[in-house]
Parts: sequence; structure tokens; C-alpha cells
Amino acid sequence: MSLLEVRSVDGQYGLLKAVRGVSLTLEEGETHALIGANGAGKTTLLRVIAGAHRPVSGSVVFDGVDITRIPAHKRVALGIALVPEGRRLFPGLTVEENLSIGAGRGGGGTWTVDRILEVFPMLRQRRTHRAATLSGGEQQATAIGRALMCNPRLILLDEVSLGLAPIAVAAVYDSLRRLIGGGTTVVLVEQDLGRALGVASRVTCMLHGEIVLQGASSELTRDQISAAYFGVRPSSGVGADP
Amino acid sequence: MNWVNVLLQGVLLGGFYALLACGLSLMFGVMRIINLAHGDIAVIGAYLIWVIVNQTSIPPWLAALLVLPMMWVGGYVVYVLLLERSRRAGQLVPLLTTFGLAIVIENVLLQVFSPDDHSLLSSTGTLATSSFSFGGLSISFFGVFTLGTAVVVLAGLQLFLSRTSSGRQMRATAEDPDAAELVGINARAVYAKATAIAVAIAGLGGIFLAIRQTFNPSTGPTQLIFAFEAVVIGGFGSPWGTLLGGIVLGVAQVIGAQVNPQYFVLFGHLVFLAVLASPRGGILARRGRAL
Repeated sequence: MSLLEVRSVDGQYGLLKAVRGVSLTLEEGETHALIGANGAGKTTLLRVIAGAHRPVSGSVVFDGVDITRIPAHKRVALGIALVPEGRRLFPGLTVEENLSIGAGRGGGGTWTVDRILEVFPMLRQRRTHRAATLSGGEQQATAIGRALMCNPRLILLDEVSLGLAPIAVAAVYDSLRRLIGGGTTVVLVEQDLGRALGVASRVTCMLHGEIVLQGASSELTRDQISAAYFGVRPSSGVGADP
Repeated sequence: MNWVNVLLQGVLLGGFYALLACGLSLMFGVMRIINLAHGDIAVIGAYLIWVIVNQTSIPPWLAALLVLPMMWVGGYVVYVLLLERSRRAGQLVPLLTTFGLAIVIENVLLQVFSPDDHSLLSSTGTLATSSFSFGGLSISFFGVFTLGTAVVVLAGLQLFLSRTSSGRQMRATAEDPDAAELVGINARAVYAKATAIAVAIAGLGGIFLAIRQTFNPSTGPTQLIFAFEAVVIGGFGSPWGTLLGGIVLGVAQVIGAQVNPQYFVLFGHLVFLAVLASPRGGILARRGRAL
């Protein structure tokens, strides 16, 4: 049985259809990259999975249970954690408080503040500092750590490298690789194709709210992906070469 | 010596204002709701203890212990029935809702208890009137008890927010309710709890109100204004700021009364306006932080 099944989900903001009839299946342990241009509906899809956005139609099934109508805070207990775009730390709380706030919710997991600090050593010096005073990379590490503390079976990462210095991106991805090695199922939204393909086993490319390309990252060519990314379908035979 | 006495009386009065202001500050800090019914809710607490003490043989201190859980439950109900719905409708709607609630409370109290003044003074024996001498000053025992209670309540609130996991969740929800949901916090439950705490503390303020002065169904709005002034002077959302704000307000009022008995309330308002006009805001104001 798949860990997550998204079945023809429609997501709307007012009149704007951000996600149209998207279906997606995730197997336990896989790392799935979700790519696409700005406004393709990636963030909305993640928010629908996490329960932060209620879809107009369609359903989300997690571990065999239909969770479409379950609120976000209860999905955390089921094992879904979202690292939201823009990190959304609690700025007045210290790093340690940010981390421990989600502690022990998913149940059965083994993440502790100390283990997070092992994975993200740059946070060790910052333990008692307020989140507002951290650098971008440290904030992103704290945000990922905060999600991990919920002991998720599925972690959704939205634009983890956005606004970070290249060295900070490298550090975040180093830690991410260790996490993936640990068997957590990951969905990764990423603008940087090279980075996304480097860690993901499967790739889904979205355009204007729909899935236009999906496959194992080893089998898809960069050309195919760029074509889907920019909205030129390879089957049309026009301008597939960027 | 007279001015030392004035200062002391002001500080003791400030303890009472801090107690009144505490819940108002908490609700604003956590939910960004200014509860315009706060003063009337305190007056409900005053009537509750008055009814219990006068209709039964329960002693006042035990009655006070009964009133607090009743107010707690009341706060929970107010959140679930009124504030939850209005909070989702934008920032202005909760303000209007609590304004409406204030009017409803005042009129129900008027209907049930008549506009006559009530007081618990006659039932509390010497607690409210006894005093002791210290260095030539006559200090009201009840005033010290009120200030002490305010300090204990505010310290307790501060400890709850900073040390307990429940308080940490409350601070996180205050800063970003959506992100809080994403780490498994039920924001609605946190808001309901904050309202329950705020209303229970308002009820405690009402109990002290009932002992220290007479009250009637229209006492609430004045208490709201004093509480609001204390919160603003101290800086919104900071527990120790609330205590300091209450004391500054109390001292200003007592100094005003010293100049001319009519200036009691006026001097408090002037300090409030001066703080509002100052670029810094409240004494312990912390910009951009919820709690």
C-alpha cells in the first residue's frame, strides 16, 4: 500500500484555481521532487496534503485513511509535517523552544532536540537565541528540525533553499541527505533542478496547476524536464530543446 | 511623610488595577482581541461572590474559590460560542462582539439585581478595613493583600508562558497560528484556554472589587477603562509591564486626588494620554512581539 495517495484534488483561492485535478502517489521511503515555475501550484498541493488548505474536491489518503477532512494539527499526529515556505518560525521563541514545540506528537519517533543539533551542528551555538536573530540558513535548519521533532513519516519541504546563501543551501542539503538515508518519506519543492534531481528518486513537474510530467529521476532527461517546466510539451515536437 | 503615604497608597491601588488588567492583556497578547466586556465580566465575578456569600453560609474565602472555576468555564463558553466565530470574520468583528456582550451583561445584571449598589464589605469582617502601622504610615492590610495577589498572579502567568509546554504553545500560537497548526497545535483549543484564563483572572479582580468598594450593574465600563489604561501604560502583552502600568496609573490617580479630590480620575487619564503620545509607547512595550 502506498503511504500517500492524492486523488484528483482541486485547490482554489477564491476564483483562482491553483491546483486542477492533481493525482499523486507516494511510496514509503521515496524522495519525491515537485518542480515547476512560480504559480504552478506546488505550494498549494503541499498545503492540501498538510491540511493547511482545504481542497474544493478530490481526496487525500494517508496510510489507507482518508484524511481530507482532518485538520492540520491532527495530521501532524498521524505523521505528516510541512516545512512551510518562508520557514514561518516563531520569532520570539528560542531555537530550542521552536524545536521542542512539536516534540512527541507523531509518536513512536526518536527525534530529540539533541539529535536535531547533531544533524544541524550550526544550531548548537544558537540554542538559546531567539529565532528572529538567526541567519537564513540557521532559520531553515530550525524549521526543518521543528518539523522533524513531530516525528513525521512524511515530511513536506517547501522551497528550503529559497533566499539562502549557496553555502547555507549546501549545508541544508547535506543534512537532508542524511535524513533521506534514514528512510523518511520526503516531498521536496525546489526551484533548483540540479539540487532536486540530485536527491530525489522520482520527479513530478507541475504547470498551471496540473501535472505535466512524472517519472523516475534517473529516466527523465533534463531536456524533458525543462520542456515541461516551461510549458512546452515534448510531444508537440516544437522547441523541446531549450 | 505625606507624599510617601500618597505614593504607597498609589502603589497599593495599582496592584488592584494590575489584577483587573491582567486578563485584558493576555487576551490581546494571544488573540489580538480587545475584550470590551472585560470590566463587565469582572463585575459578574463580583455579583457571583456576593450571591454565594449572601444566599448561603459559605465563607467568603471559600466562595472566592468557587467563583474562579465558574468564571473559567464561562470564559471557555464565551470563546466557543462567540469569539471563535467572530474571530474568523476579521479583526473588527471580535471588538463589536465583545462590545455587544458588554451591553448584554450590563442589562442582564440590571434586570436581575436592580441598579442598587451592592458590596461585600459587611460580610468580610475586618479583612477590608483593618490596617497596620509601619514607620508612621497606616497601611491597609487589604491593599497589601491585593498587590500581593496581583504579583503572584502575574508571576504565575509569566512562569506559565515561559516555562510550561502549554505556555510555549500559547506563545507560538500568538505569533503565528497557521504555523502552530502545522506543528500539531490546536489553535482553537489554545485560544479557548487563553480566554478561560483571562476570564477567571477578571473574576478574581471582580472578587477584590466586591470587597474594596460598592458596585452596581454599570460599574464595569469604568473598570475596563482603568484596566485598559494600565495595559497601555505598561506596554501591551507584557505581564510585568501590566503590573508597572497599574502602579503608574494608581500613583497618578492618588497624586491627582491629593491635588484636588476631583482630579483623581483625571490625572490617570493624563498619564495614559502622555504614554500614548510618546514615541516609545508603553513602559515595557516590545515592538513586534506578541507575548
